[in-house]
Formats: sequence, C-alpha cells, structure tokens
Amino acid sequence: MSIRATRPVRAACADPDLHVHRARRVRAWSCIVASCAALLCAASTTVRAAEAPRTFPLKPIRMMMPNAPGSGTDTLGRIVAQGLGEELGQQVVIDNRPGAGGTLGMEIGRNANPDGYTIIFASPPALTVAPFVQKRQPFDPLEDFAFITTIGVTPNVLIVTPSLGLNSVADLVEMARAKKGAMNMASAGPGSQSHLAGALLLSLGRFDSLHVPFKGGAAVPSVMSGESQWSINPAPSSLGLIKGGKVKALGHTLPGRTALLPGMPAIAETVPGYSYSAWNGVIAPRKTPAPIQERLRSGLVATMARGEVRSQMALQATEIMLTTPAEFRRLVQDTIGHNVKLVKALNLSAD
Amino acid sequence: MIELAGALLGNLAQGFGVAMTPVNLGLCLLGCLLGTLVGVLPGIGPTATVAMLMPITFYLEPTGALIMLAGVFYGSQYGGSTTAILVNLPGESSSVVTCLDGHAMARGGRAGAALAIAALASLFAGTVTTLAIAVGGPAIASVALLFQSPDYVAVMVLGLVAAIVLAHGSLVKAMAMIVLGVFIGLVGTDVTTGEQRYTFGIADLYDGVGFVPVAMGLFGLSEIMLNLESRARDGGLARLRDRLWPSRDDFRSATPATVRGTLLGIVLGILPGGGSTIPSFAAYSLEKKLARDPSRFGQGAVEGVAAPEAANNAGARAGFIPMLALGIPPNAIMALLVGAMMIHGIQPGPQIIAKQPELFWGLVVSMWIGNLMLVVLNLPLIGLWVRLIQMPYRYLFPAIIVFCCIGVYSLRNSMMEVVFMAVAGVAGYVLRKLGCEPAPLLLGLILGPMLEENFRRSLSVSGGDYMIFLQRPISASLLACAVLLLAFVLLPGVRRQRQRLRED
Repeated sequence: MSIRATRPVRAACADPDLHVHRARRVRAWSCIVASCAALLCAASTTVRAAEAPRTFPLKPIRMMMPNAPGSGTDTLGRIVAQGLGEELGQQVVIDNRPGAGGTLGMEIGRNANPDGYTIIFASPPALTVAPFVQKRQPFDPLEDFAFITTIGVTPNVLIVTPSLGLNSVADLVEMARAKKGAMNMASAGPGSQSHLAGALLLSLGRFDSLHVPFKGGAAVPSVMSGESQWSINPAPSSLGLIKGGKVKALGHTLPGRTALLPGMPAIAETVPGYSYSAWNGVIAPRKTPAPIQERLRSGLVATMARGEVRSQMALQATEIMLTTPAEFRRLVQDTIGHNVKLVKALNLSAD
Repeated sequence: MIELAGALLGNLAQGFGVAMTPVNLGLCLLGCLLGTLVGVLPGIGPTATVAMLMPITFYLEPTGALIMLAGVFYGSQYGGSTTAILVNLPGESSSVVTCLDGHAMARGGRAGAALAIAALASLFAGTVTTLAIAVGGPAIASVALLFQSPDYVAVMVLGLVAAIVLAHGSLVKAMAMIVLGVFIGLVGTDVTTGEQRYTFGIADLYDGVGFVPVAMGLFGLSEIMLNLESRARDGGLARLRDRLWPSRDDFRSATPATVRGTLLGIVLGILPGGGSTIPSFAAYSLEKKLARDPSRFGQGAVEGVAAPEAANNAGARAGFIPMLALGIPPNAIMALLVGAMMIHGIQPGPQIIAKQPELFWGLVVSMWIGNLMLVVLNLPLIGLWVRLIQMPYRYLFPAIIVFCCIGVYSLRNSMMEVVFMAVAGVAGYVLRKLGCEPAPLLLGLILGPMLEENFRRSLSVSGGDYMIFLQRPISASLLACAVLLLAFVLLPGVRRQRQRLRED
C-alpha cells in the first residue's frame, strides 16, 4: 500500500524540468565565479568579519559532518548546505570527519574558531549517544555548543523479510512470542540508532529477539536475504526496497501518521508510547557571536522554506522541523535522557 | 532468446543516445580524467574526490552527474596501478598486489610493458563487466543476496588460505605475516559488543587501523628506505630496456590470466565489502597456483600484473550491480552515488531500471565509453610515466613522500593517519630486512576483521552451533575448497619429509 502512496512525492521531484536545469547550470557558473571573488575579498577582510556581523558571511562556511560521506545524515546535510549557501551568498562546504561514533568531528567543531565560519550538522548518535558510550568524555553535548535550529525529523521504518507473511506490528510481536524470541533483529551496530530503536520496541512491546549487529548498511540486505527477520532503519535507506517489494514495511517510528509515508501506520498504534526518530540540526561552537547565530538561523529558516529543499527532504521522508535555540537545547536534553536510559539498560555505557 | 537480444539492443541504443550527447560525453571525459589523476596520486582516494565534486553535480542533470561521478571511480582504478608499477607505491588499496610483479617488471626495465598490460587488462575487464551489468544486472544482484554470514566466513577462510600462496619465500614467515595482519585488524571497536580493543584511548583508533596508510607505509615508504640504503649513486630507479610495448609472448601469457581475473572480479565484486581489493588478491593467488613455474611470480611475471588489474577493475564495476539493481551500496563510494541520486530526486531501488531507463542504460553505456577513453588517455602517457622513474632520487623521493602525506591525510582529514603511515613505513623496512613480505600482512588486515565479524555473527545466529558452517551449501563447498587448497600446498612438503625419513 505504501508503494502507491509515496509515488506522488516522487513524481513531483523526479521529473527533470529542462528549464530548471538550464537555469541551474547558469547558476553554477555564476556561483563558481562569485565564490572565487568572495575568496579574494575574504582574504583581505577576515579581521573585520568578527566585528561586523552585518556583513557575515564573507567567505565560505565549513559545515562539520561527523558522518561518513554517503551516509543518510550526510545526504541531508548536503541538501541543507546547498540551500544555505545560496541563501547566504557564500558556499557552505561539507567537511566529513567520521570516526569514533562521530565524536571526532564534533570535537573538531567544538574547538573551532567561534566566528560562524564553522558550523556542525548534528544528529542524535554523535551528540546524544556516543559521549555516553565511550570511556573518554570528548565534549559536553549541552554546554559546549550554541544551538541554531533543528531542520527536520527523519523516521525509522520497521522492515521484515517479505516471505514471512507478516502484515502488521502485531503479527511480528505474536510470531516472536510464539517462537520464544528465536528471531533475529539486525542492527547497524551496538549503540546505533537502529539498535536503540529496536531495543525500545522489544522492551515496550514485551517480546524477545536476538540482536544481530552489522556494520552500517548491511543490516538491510540481511533482512532481504532472510538471515535476519526484522530491523528498524532510517527510512531513506529502505524506501526504495519497500517499493520494489524486497522488504516489507510494518510501521514507522514517528508518534503518529505522517503525510510523507502515506498509508504506513505508526508503530505507536500497536505499541502505545513508542517513538524513536532522528532529528537533525545545525549547531555551532559555544562562543559564536549572537548576531552571527541569528544570521545563520534566518538563513536556515529560509533554506527550509525553499521548494527544491522541501521536495528533496520529502524524498528522504524527512519532516521539516524548525525550533528556537531554547527548544532545540531542550530537545537535545530529552533525547539524551531517553538514550542514556536505553544505553544503561543495554549495558553499553562505558562506566 | 532473439526477443531478449532485441530488447537488449534497444536498451543499449537508448543508452548510447543518452551517453553520446556532447554534455554527457564531456562529463564522462572529465570524470575519467579526474579519476586517473586521483588514482595516480597516492592515497587521495576516489571517495574523497566524489564527495568534493558532489556540490557541483547539484547543477547538473542526474544522469550526467552520475556519469561523471562514476567516471571518477573507475578512472581511479586505472590510475592506481601506475604508481604501483613505477615506484612500488599503491595509489589505491586495490593496486597493492600490482606492486609485486608490476614493480619487479619496472625494475627489470619493462615498465612500459607492465603499464600497457595493466591498461589493456583493465579495458577487457571493464568491457566484460559492463556487458554483464547490461545483460544480467538484477539476476547477478540476487546471487549476492544468497550469501549469509557463514558463507562470508567460508569466503574469508578460502582467501586466507590462498594468501599463503601469495608468498614466494618462506611459508612460515607468510603465515606469521597473515596472523600479524589479523592481529592488527583486531584494533578498534568490537562490532558485536561495541567494546574498545587496543585503542589506548586514541580516538583515531576507534574505527581500526586504516588499510591505506598501512599499505603505503609497508610498500612505498619502506621501498624508499631500501633504495636509499642499497644504492649509493643517484641514478634513478631503473633503466629502460629494449622496447616500450609488451611482446607477443607477454600477450600470450596475459590473455588467459585477464579472463580469469575478470570473472573472479565480477563474482567477488558484487558481495558487500568485496570491492576491488579482495578480487585483486584472489586473482593473483589463483594465477600463481595455476602457473607452471610459480617461482617467476614476484620477479616480474606478466600474469601477476594482468590478473589483479583485470580483477580490480571488474570488481570495481561489479559494485555498480547491487547499487543499480537493488539500491544497496556495497561500499562507501557507491553509498555516495546513492546519496547523489537521492539529492537529484531519484529513489534508488529495484524499480530504478524500469522507472529511470535513461539513467540506468545511459550510465551503463557511459561506463563502456569511459573505459575506451581511459585507454586512449593512458596509453600515450606511458612514455611519459616511464621517463618519470629515471628521475634522480633527490627529486623523486621527496615528491613521493609529500604526495603520500597529503593523500593519507585526506583520507579522514586526520594527522594521525600520517603518523600511522610513518610507523608502518619503519615496520615495513624492518620486516623486509627480516625477509618477511608485506602482502600477506595486508590481506590479513583486510580479511581478519571481516572474518571475525561474520564468524561471531554466524555463531550467535546458530546459538553457538559450529555445524552452521557445514549446513549451508555455499559455505560447505567453499570450506571444502579451502581444505583442498591447503592440502595442495602442504602435500609436497609432506611427501618430501617422508622421503627424507625413508632415506634416514
């Protein structure tokens, strides 16, 4: 059913409009010329930049990406970087620093010069899980950063092997209980979003499954091949396979139905109170001047209103969500609360 | 059958229509050029390059964007062998094996022949693999899905056993090197529990010791040290002997090796994590095992260049099969291409061939055109490259070290990687002084972590029952192959020993 339902979104943005492309190409050149010119200007005026935030930004901005190139978060970040660059009139360059659960990139971001020219694309794993799983304390997620705004929420999707003939979350729970937990739950590794989301479902749904960790994306093929029976994964990585009938989706992890996954029920409809989705947002080093933070924020708000950004986000099933800095900080605090509880229950914490 | 062929021709015609537009041809050429460049520069990998090019593709049509990005990828597989052959420095991890015989050929004054063989073997492999994608993409992709954890274990075991064949010196030393490689592979985060192992609180070690810095140190840097030690006069690496191009004999021995390498590359390339490195190791081992005179290997055997080069190109391209047919990226660079598709509003998945035929067929045909471009680009360059190694050390070596440092740094934008490379360089020097070869160590480093991960997963799924490895037909037959191969390697030794006993 989800196959038919998601098609309109796809059609809307997959249609290559020639005129748009021609316009885009022209923009590409003007963008390259502009950024070269800007680089020259920036070289001579960097000193004044910090004192005169009204002219921010004068040179390209670096966006730290604590995730590997090609990962789901990286793809979202690139869409935002592109739009933000056009809004601010300066390129926003992605700087991938994956490693150590994302803490390496976060640390580089925290220690960067707080002049607004380094921002960080944040997501729950690096900001709210890794610091509590690792022995060293790389950073303080609440105190070391200035929270600009969240940009969106991406649901995870519960997928099962199609040949099992399961049609609902209730079917899965029933089968797992009947088999006394002799089922495999694939995850993207211990402490990953996919692990924590699955563990939460096991605990709230009161059933058992064997946790089978994989490295990153290999969890989804394992459900396709039937080696694992179910897995919860970020929606973008499995939507194509769901449409192609290679895996079956039973529900998503938002608290209620969403227009971006039409026809797909929320897991919470069967397991009340269940919710585990990933937000993304932009943060900056703590001491970034307030006017520059405000400029970044208005740029991001405008970016998320752009038509092409909205349709690209829709294809990732990402719901756009803007927050004030205070709301964003509270969201991080809440997420830490939830995740720390899960991490402790799963015995993952380093203490 | 005729209908099928007709449909294929129709599809290919559509693909040519898309790929031959001036814009797409230009993008293909640009991608291949950039790919060759990053391939030649040691360490700077295609993943970093594709990531950097992504913003530009926002302004292109999706098909053109993918054609260019794909060109960077397979172009780099071509370029990687150049430095491997000339200065024993693997430009890409997949060219490590090419160092063994390629550089030996260069030292023997046959650098031109080695480069030409590498280029032509790559052309052949690229053409065959592209055709395989066109004819059987989805069918081949579903084969990859038959592989589960126990089967991967069997593949790795077979690979490690085959690695013993890699060595041309002492068997014991080769095994010791494999074990050392596996041990180094233990460093990092435990995939099953998330526990840190041997990381000593260094965050850069959490994801394990990188393959590329170790390979560049063990091969490239230690080579420089050995050179500086052994030759007092500053005369360049090698003189050119007789001719630039391969002889007829070279072609005769390279052709069957290329065919075998290509097939092996396709099979191993579609497996997740397979990529192009494992196929090149496997192809080399196979050739050495099949050769009438295995002692030639490591001394400049033409098959030792042709087979791994064919295999790594076939493997690199076969990675497109699961990506295009299923939307599952088998490696980091395919993940980036999937990301590029998403940004362009295309949902990767099994339906892409039916829904976006112009993209699928355009890309497939462009891969073939790109292949041709690469050969045309690279063959004339051979003369130039060959002159490069006649450069005096005082220019060549500092340049190599600088490029290595830049390349390794760009892997994770981390200074620690450069330090790892330096440590590996010193270790490589010591090991080579002791008569230990670095290639088996590298294979252990690649296969060890994958073997462990799949082994533990198999046992956790089976509830600790070791029979799981024998119950699955794929793993059972692969393990049987490994046992046979091991017997094959060990038996002559046993026989000789027996003989000695009888004589006593």
